[in-house]
Amino acid sequence: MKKSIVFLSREPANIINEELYIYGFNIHAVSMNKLYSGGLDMRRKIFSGLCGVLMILLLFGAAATSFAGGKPEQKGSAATTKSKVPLIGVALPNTTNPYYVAMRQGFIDGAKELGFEVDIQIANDNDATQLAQVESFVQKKVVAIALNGVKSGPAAASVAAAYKAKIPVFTVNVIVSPEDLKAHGAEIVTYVGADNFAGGRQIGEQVIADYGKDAKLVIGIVTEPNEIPPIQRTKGFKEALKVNPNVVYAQEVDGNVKPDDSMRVTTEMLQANPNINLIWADTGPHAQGALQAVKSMGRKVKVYGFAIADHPIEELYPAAAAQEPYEYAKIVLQQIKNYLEGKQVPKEILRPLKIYTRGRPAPGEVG
Amino acid sequence: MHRLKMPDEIGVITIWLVVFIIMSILSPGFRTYDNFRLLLLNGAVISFLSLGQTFVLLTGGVDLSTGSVIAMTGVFSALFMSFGLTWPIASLFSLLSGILIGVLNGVFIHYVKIPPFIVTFSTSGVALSIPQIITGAESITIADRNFSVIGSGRFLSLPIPVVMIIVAAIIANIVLRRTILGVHIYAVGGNVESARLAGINVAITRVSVYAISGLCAAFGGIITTSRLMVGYPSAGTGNELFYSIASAVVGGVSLFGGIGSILGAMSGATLIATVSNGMTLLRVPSFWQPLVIGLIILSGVSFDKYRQVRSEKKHSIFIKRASKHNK
Repeated sequence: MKKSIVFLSREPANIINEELYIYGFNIHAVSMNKLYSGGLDMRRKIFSGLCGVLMILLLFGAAATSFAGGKPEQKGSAATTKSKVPLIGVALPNTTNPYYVAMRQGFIDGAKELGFEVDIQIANDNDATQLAQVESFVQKKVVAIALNGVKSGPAAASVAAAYKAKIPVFTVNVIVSPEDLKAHGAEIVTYVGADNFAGGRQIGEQVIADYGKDAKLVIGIVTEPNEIPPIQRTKGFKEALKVNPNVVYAQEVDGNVKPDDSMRVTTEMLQANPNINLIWADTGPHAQGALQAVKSMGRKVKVYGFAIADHPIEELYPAAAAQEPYEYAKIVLQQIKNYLEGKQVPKEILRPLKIYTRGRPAPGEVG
Repeated sequence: MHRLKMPDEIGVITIWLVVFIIMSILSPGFRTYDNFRLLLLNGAVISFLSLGQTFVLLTGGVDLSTGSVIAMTGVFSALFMSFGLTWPIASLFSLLSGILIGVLNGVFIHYVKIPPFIVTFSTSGVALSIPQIITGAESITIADRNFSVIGSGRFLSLPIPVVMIIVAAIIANIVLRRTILGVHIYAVGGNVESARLAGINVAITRVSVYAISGLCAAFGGIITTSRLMVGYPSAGTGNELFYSIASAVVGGVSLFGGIGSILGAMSGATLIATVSNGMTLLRVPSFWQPLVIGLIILSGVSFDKYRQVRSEKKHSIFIKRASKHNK
């Protein structure tokens, strides 16, 4: 019987193998050359060094391109004190949603027109990050803060941080919970956002106009039960459809405000309810996923909802409500200007939604 | 004495059968061929991720970047098509980009000796940011309409993504069972030091498994994008990663390496797809789904652990008896 051994040596493995095989061993010879000479260590060091250099180059590259893009929001407070241009802090939740991409552009363009400078911070959907960003605005002594909170409740802490430092806060899109504000003893100056309830109702009215007051409609809903605006929209939609007694709501599914999740749950909802003949999708990503689900299953179910970014109205997607985040940003800046000049500003500005029944929403108009 | 050895996957397959039968009784919509196809289709992306993850887990590593690679490759394929490339070429390039991320993972883990958790977590951030930087976080509509054949096409009445995952699973099984690379993967996962001493090229083995995982995630990205017909920079960032690791683990793939099979991982993925589909059909509110899936994972893994401990006990009794006998 042949025996196996593991053999460690400074000699190259093949030489040891040849020599020892004669004695009837199965050899697993491993040369230790590399370990002794330190060759492996050297290579590892060089490799790590190269990686480090590469990373630094990458970072510089990234920074250079973003400066070449000439984003004025990157400038800090040092620049402001020199130029005496009032600095406004803008806190946004993320930029993965096209909605906030449009809003960010609105702040940049609006600031140029009104002679402000803006410092835009993105919280990556983290409440604590946003609070830290607002606190840094306080340190930079901004003249005002425009806040699109990550979530309604926790955003009150951000408002309070600024309020204590006597910096006025203007909220946009996401409503900061009034109860939490009261608990913190803070208040906001003005809220600017879409009239979500009205938007849902307008699409509901469009359904009545398209189908009549007594059409038999079995409706599936793609929504997000964790966020206030979609809930308000769905309430408005149902309110408008109350005039039709033949409306049945088959099922509500959670689309997570993401097209891929929405597509999955919509296919399953259609599978479970073969009689659904209309879908209400209360955000752009929900509408996008639902529309794709309907198409992929070859069903003739129409999707009514909030607007898919840059997507034309078509047969299966006959009507959509679009918000104008680009405009909301500009309105906020105008209110800040009025406030700083000592003019009276309203507590709340609710913008009507644009209803599309043909064509496609303009750039910056999103559901 | 010869006893028929139970396959290791029996636990997860039994749980799946039980879940399937219960759902079928509760929901008439569930027990149709159409729904079964839909369930497999909706589970295809997680199955692909779990397939790649199995290779990595078998070497004792973990790949946290797969969810982000879905976003990256999805946006890349949309981007390449917007440059005027046809869909097969664009898909090929995005598959390559997935492999590249995997190779990077493997190289950093093996040569710089950073733990896989840290490396893949970092590349996850990189892979997620690249498409956002390039597109300004906007989604890109697919220019080549023929691309939808991947997500919406059929082959022998089965959706193409399901056919793709079946073919991929068969190939993966052959690689693990019949090739030298497969043997090396199990060896590295079993004990990396003895594998090295036995002359196995650990570097190539490690880099390969992460490259395979990147490739599988890229397939996931292409399927997602083709189904939506839009390159979406936050696709794949939800439960996909968690469910894919869970699928493999619930299917008997050990988190510590060296143990597990493709059949197990695919059964795990099918189990999770079945639960997710069944609960929507039963109109269970969405908040319940992670809870139920979490409990299933716990029970599946507990069952495996119990079996393992029992077989170890038997083994140790056998050794004791043998040593007594020798005295």
